[in-house]
Amino acid sequence: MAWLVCEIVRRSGWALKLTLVTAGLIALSACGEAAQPIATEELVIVDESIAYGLDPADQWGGYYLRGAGAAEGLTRFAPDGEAVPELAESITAVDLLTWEVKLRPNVHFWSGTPVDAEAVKASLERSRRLDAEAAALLDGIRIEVIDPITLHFFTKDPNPMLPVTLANYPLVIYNAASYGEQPNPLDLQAMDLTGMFRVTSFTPRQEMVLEANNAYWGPKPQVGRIRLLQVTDSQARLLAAQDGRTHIVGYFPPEGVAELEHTEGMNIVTVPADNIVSVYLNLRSLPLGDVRVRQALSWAIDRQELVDLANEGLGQPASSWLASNPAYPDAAKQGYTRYDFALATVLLDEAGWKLDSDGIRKREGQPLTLRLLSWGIEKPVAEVLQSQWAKVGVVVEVQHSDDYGMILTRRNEGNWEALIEGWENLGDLLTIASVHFEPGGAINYGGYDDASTNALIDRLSKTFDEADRRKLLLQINTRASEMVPIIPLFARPRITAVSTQVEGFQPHPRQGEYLVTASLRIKK
Amino acid sequence: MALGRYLLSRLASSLYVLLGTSLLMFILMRLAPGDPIDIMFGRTHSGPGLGLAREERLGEIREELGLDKPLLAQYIIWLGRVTQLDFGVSFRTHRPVAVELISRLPATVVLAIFAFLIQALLAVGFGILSAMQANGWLDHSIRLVAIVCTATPIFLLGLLLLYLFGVRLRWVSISAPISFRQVILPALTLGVVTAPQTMRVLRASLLEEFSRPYMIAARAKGLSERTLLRRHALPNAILPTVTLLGLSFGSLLGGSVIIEALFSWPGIGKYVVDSIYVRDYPVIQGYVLVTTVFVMTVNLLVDFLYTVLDPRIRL
Repeated sequence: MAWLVCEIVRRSGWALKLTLVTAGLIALSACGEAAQPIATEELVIVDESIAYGLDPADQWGGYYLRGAGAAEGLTRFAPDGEAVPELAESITAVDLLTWEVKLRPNVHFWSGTPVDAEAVKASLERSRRLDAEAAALLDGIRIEVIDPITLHFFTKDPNPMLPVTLANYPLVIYNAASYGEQPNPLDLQAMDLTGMFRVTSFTPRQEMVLEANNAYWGPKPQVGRIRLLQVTDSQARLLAAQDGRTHIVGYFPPEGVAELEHTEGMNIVTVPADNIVSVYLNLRSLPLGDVRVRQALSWAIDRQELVDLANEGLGQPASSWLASNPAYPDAAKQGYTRYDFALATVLLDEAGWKLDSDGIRKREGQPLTLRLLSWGIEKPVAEVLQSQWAKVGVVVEVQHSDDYGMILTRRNEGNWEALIEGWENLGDLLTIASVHFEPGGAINYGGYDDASTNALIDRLSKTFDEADRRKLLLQINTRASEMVPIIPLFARPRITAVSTQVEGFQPHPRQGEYLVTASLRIKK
Repeated sequence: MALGRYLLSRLASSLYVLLGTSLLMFILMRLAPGDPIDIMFGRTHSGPGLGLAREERLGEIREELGLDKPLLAQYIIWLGRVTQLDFGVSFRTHRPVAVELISRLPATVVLAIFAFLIQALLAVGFGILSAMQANGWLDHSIRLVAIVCTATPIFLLGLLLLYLFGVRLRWVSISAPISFRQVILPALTLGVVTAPQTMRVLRASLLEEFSRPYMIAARAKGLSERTLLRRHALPNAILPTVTLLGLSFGSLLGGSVIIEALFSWPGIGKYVVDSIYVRDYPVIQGYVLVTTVFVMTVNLLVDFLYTVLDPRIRL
């Protein structure tokens, strides 16, 4: 070997020598300052994305700041999907159109300014003004300060879901006076929130450093410092989990789970996400106007096989729209709880789509063909569906794009029969049901309009009793399973790689939004 | 005086190029399917608003961003602002585009310079070596490695380097904040993948020079191979290589999406691709202008370099 090197150097002259010297310098510079081991008080978290800015009223700011343990709302989502008080001590319905919010006493922003009713109102009004999502959530709601710790929320119509609405990240509470009138995404000095960690340094989309807020009103954080880094690429996040210098890796790629099982010092934590990957059907299209065809397509899906092939076996098959919502365990027993190939063929026969000699179902000479749109990570799901539906004689043309604009255009033009998307089924279920199933609903892409479903949603909108609401939601779920405007497929899990050095990690269906909690601790 | 006239004429033609490029990009982006308001504020992401943002609010946003105006009016307004170095405000981040681009340019430039140096070094070093040992085992080995490097997907090479130096050897940390040291691996990946093409061009040019009669005569006079290379062959053979390197540098300054994503390098490439996905028109237009200026500047520098390398060339 040494001879070979000497020979190369001897025969090559100055060109190779120069090359070797420079390569050596590069290598030396790479290893010159060896990576420092992390301090035990510092928790290093790698995630797919971190904030663009520090203003909760700026796009997604509330989401990232809440996820980092810096921001809080009047209520929050517990891991079981229920909204529970956070900065609010209680929320009670005074009458059909009024909710009373009592604030926790002695809560302060980081600056020491008290979190009183005026400050809460100012925060919500600023968010309403600057953030389209906050404006949508507070649509028709008037906020009035009653006394320093009491606010009244007046709704235009009966709104039984207000406590849930207030748990959403666009409505986190901050010191509006400190941020100013306009979006203020990069001013670290203007940041004034209530969370258990306060931001001390920030580079947009790269790094956020937080330190424990010792004046926090709740359980004191047990980690002194958190360093949150953005690593966009999923394979790089997999490597980050293996490099021994990262405590938590969010949005861990499913394809890396098997590999990480062989890595010492890291565990995989999975929890069903707050949404269900579903096929949205275009009911205006010829074959799918017939409910029997829609039902047949749903029965013809082997959901477990779909999860195994398209998502590395990670995920929970979903038989109905509400199936993965932890607050509604009965929903998992509704709808398409099994794979029933025979029933699918019977339904298609009944609908007049007969199997031809070429294995394709036809009616009046026309083949049963679906254009299935998919985007982003849903391509494998589309391909497995294509294969499964081919078995019952349905031809599927998968039209995939990584560019959502392309999908959006095709959808708006009506050039589609089916579309794969994942929408949430946890939180304000009245709104979620409404946008999915009511005519004109933002996610009712396929033009579903069913009098029975509409009546159930209308009753839900006026029902304040928790038990009655649950019954109504399960009825809506049953009806949606019968009419099949969407075909639920599976709940994609939130996967997080957590170091065995870390204790107190709390799995949450909205993991990104509730990643950092006060219970996180690094073992000594 | 001649140089001044030349610079003036280049400047004038650059203005036409910039105008044409910006107009073309302006039209193409608006012809592309997908509406930025619909994508960013409407119904595309799973958020608590669930696309509830009311149509009238979306209309207001459209008006605020000037997207309700006719296309020509939008272009003229944008052009008027650009002449005052105001590239507008990003739809997505609400920050001035100039600030967004400037904040990412240093990282892009640093990566481009390092990758360029590695590329140039490898290409020139191994190109000369390969030509000097033409058809020998060293030449065959270098060309084989070059083919392997060219055929290796850049993502795979980057991933392998990250695994080797980040996970196995632990020389770099994947979860480290961005630092000067962190540039080595992405630059090495880019340099290794881009070097072989230039190397092969240099090798071919050198071999052509070596076979010319004046080289045979020089050899017959007893000049050493090193002298022949340095004084005669290389100065004549280097021009195509310089052209290629110049083009490559211009392209590197445009950012590298895959490498930036893989190494979490905060450059301009990934940012712009994300902006394209959400149709963030001001960012895309600003980016196109900036990269066009870069490419034109590099081309100008290459033209000047020609005159230094070959005194027969006059501007």
